[in-house]
Amino acid sequence: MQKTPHESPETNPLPPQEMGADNTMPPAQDVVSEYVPESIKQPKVGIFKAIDTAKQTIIGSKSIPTEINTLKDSYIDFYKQTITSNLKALGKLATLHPIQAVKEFASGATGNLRNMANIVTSPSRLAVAGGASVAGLAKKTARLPFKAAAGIAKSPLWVWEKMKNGTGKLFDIGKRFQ
Amino acid sequence: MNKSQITQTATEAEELYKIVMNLYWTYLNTLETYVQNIPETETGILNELNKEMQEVQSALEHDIGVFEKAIQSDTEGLHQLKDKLKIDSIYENLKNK
Repeated sequence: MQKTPHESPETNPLPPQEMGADNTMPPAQDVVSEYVPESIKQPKVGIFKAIDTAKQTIIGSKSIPTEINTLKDSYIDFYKQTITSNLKALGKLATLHPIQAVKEFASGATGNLRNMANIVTSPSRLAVAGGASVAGLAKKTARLPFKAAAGIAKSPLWVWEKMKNGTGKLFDIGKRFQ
Repeated sequence: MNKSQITQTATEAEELYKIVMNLYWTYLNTLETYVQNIPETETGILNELNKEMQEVQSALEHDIGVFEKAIQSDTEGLHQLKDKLKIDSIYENLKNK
């Protein structure tokens, strides 16, 4: 970002040392040129600076793959914890009399044991069933990574289009000066 | 979603990120080479390319933002799920007492 003269004391258009010995003003074109952004005075310099900024942005984004992997590990940990805790609940179920267990399953759609057994039996079945609290959680869990993938897929990926087509301003100019 | 599906989704997201960033990097290098070959006198073209670079920067920031938003959204969602599961567990324990 170019600093304007009034933002930066070192680029003051009228620093004392640049004034004539007789305190006369410097030539008008010098004063004007101080106000003209670098990108207009020296377009190439402006482009190279912008390219450098873009490259620094890419370098700065290199933590993204690590973040993706951290998220993946968190999902797997969460999944394991959920299954483990629910297996414990199933253990409790196993101690019940079979008829009592059947009654537990049959009683109410939101019974805790029933939900937990469902998770262990089939997460996808739960995802379809939904409704109950634990089932709802499993449903959400199953959907979240897709949400991320869908979000990425919706990106216009502007540069992809530009590179794929091989047309447009940059490519036309490139052909001319290659 | 099982472990292998989660792993696959993460791998695909990472690959997509790398492809996009490589494309930008190649694009910027191509632009750099073109600009070096353009005479200083071609101010019209150079000014156009300056504008083009503003568009590149904004598109790049947008695409990086999409990745960051997706990661942030899922991380928040996962934390919410953990919290909700904990609350549900406490609720069930209290109810069964």
